[in-house]
Amino acid sequence: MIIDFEHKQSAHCENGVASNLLNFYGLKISEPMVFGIGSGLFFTYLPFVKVNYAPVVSYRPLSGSIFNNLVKNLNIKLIRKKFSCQKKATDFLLSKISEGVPCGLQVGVYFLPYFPNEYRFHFNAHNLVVYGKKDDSYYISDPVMQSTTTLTEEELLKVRFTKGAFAPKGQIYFPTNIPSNININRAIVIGINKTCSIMLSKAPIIGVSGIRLVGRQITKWPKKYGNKIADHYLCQIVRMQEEIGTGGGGFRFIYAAFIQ
Amino acid sequence: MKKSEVPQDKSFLSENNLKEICYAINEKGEYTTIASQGWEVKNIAINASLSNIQDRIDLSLNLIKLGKLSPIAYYMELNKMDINILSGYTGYSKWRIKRHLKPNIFKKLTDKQLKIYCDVFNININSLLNFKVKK
Repeated sequence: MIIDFEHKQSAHCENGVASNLLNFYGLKISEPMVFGIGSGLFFTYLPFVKVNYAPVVSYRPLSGSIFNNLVKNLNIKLIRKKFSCQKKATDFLLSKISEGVPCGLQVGVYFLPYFPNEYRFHFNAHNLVVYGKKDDSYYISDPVMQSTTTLTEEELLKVRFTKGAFAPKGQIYFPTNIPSNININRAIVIGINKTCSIMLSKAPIIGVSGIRLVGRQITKWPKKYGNKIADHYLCQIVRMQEEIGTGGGGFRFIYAAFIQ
Repeated sequence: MKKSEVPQDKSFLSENNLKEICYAINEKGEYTTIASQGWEVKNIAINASLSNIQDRIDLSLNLIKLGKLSPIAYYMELNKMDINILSGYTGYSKWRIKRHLKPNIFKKLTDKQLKIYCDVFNININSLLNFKVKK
């Protein structure tokens, strides 16, 4: 069963899955609009949390929050399920596909065969859509890829049940009950207000204060930790800012497109 | 960023015929999507990360040779894992894995325990039991 699903490449996986899934139900919301209404613009610096042996710098909030904010602001219901049993996770996905419902999945990228090796880290907050199954092939619309791909049952299970921080636990999600009237203007205002309040937070490690803090810290790192570690920390910032599908400049260009 | 400024440098993406989406301004000042095949700045960052991983692999080999770590350390670094991630995949708690990383404890591990690590690292049991550091 292969659902007639339109694949469109996007800069960021969660935005792309949200946009493509809503498009399937006739709701045309572009990636920048998803990102803006979903209040995706963010900044935090967590020097006490290390990922890849460097402090966490994040330009977006927790995985899932963009789509959650988006559907809340548009009065759409979004169903999310996690599984401890791999067989139940597979059966549930197959049942939705057979009903003609394309599904978003949270996956880890380490075992994704179509990702270049250099990008396969233990990163568990990637999102893609499954829109069909034929023989042993699941039909995948991964929004960071230019075209659709396939995964075998074994490959899909492996990426759905990766371990480590933010393990997906087979998470599957899909929108239901899409209202015929959407008040997009209201949703946009709510999305912008939330972003403003977060970016202007008084907490020193969040928003504008956080950006200024990191700026000051960078100049201190070489003396505090030596050049090798300072370089490593700086590389982490570059990669978080440009690498994980931010569309450039830590999502700033996507947000500028939304504002326009 | 203007459309003309979107980098199109050779990268790990372009080597695999892949492109990623960036947002940039066209001639009319409107934001639009542009496919980029890569940016040298990102190449430097990724290469630095990969080089760090290689350093960790080399260090683990040295420490195994000196009898300070067990072969589990090598495969952990080779698979870009840390103790947290390895704990998730093996089901062993972090403190148990730290023990298994000690050569004298590693020697006493049962085949069943070794197999758990082998399944995670996708190697056969000989690769752990007869591990030799190549020069």
